[in-house]
Amino acid sequence: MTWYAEKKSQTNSFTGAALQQAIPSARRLFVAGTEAPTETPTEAPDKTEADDLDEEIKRIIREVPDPTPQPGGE
Amino acid sequence: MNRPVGIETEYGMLCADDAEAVDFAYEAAMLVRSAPLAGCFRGWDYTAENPRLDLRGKRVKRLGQDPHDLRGNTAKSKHLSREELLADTVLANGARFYNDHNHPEYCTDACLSLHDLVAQDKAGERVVLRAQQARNAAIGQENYVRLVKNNSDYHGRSYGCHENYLVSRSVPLNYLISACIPFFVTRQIYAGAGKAAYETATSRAGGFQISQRADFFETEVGINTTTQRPLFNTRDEPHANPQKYRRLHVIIGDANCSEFATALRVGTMALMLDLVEERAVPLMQLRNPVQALQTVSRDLELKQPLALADGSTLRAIDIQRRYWEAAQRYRNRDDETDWVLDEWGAVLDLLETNLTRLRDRLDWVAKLALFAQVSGDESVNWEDPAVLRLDLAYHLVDPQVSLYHMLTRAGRMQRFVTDDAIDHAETTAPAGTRATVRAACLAKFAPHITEMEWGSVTFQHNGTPFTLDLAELSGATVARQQELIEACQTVGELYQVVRQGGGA
Repeated sequence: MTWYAEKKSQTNSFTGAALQQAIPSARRLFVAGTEAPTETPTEAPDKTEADDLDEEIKRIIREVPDPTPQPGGE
Repeated sequence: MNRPVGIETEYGMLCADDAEAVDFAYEAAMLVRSAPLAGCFRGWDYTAENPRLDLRGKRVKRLGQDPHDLRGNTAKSKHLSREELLADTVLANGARFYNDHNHPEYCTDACLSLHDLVAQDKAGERVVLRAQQARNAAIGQENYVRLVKNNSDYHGRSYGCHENYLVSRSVPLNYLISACIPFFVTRQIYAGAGKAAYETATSRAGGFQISQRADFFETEVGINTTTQRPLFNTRDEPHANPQKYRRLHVIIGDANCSEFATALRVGTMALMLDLVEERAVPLMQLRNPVQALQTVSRDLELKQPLALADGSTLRAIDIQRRYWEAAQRYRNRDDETDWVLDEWGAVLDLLETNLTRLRDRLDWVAKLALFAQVSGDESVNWEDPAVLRLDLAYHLVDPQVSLYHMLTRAGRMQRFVTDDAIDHAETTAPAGTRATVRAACLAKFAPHITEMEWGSVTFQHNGTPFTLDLAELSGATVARQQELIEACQTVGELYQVVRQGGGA
């Protein structure tokens, strides 16, 4: 995720032992489906649309703060 | 739906100050009280509430509390009265908005259709957004507080999104529990909101899982909700006629942003309860349900076999298919039921054959697709702090910074209700329910109302209190009460009718 470098690196002080090492990459889960025909309203985006979406996601990620501790609830 | 159902959602609250210094009780109270809510009633009658009453026929002395829970600085909140702190508010649409466990919480009253329920739930998002905007304006800082419709702070604490289903009291409790637990463990495959972390109370690791809440459940059956969370919660507080009804208080569920996912989550559960009441539910006993819940949540390829008590195994999809097959007996009952059966079956098929196509319907798949999009050909570094920002951004209620709303604006999320329906739900109670009576009382006799709660409205007339009983949630009694409120021109007329026993 090279675009992460656009926000200054932050130290994550809240770490723990990894509960699971072998997580399948999100990309792998989506490769087959991305190339499959779709009948849903979600059409495969053309390059411009995809670029616009990428830019929008990056903008939002830049504006959103890191999650902070909160009280538990119910 | 064949039963009244409501949703209560606690919103996460991000404050610009250092979290350890934030007085969350104060902030939640002030946020709720800041909300510009025309025609609301401030207050709540707690005399009918009894959260320590257990379906297993006992009343516990106290409810458990999480010793690790963040309480925040109480320097500000200790100066507030109990009423100021709780900030109880009854809205013009009959819903409740208040400070629950230091989170702003919006509760719909019970609805009779999925359409109304989703619209009321979405109306809640708008109410809390306006509260956020008003609070920030009052402080003079644009983003001092941001609200988020999720269930985890990514630091080991969880807050809830509960569903409440009215169920016949005649159903044996053990049968109800046996029917529900495998359903609760496996429904996350379409109802999960997705989370880019694994959490315990004291640690976090990177990774993606289907459910926001799976990490926080520790036991199968119990009455607690904030610690030792049970898959099946036994709180016995029907807020309705207790001789006829149980309120099944479902605490194991994620707050969905997707309208489709909310509708499917509730619609399938309601059908499963129809099977329960007919004693027609397929019974499958998991060997270790709590462990299975976490296994399913981490099984993104949905292939893991779950051990059953009889020695056999089933995948989560297989278990859900058995419920779906049994529910076919309700096909052609009504359009809404057919929608649930059609979509439930289609989603189970697509989960197995083409996950990508569910990215416009299921929150966890939509979120995973966002990670796939931004990662390109690289693997996701789940330990990168920006991963959590993306996860969090999906759930923000402010449409300008919410990734869910971005996808919706781009036409990439299926809708279940229109914006007009949500507008309507902000000011109008769900059709045919007691909430319409509550809302009508509020609209017509607000100056004379002294107390409100789910099951009653209390008025005062010439110094004499009197109460309109709302123990029935729908049906002929509610219709009569609607006519009564419409017919009475003054609170004195209403008093006379109620005093003579004509209020129910």
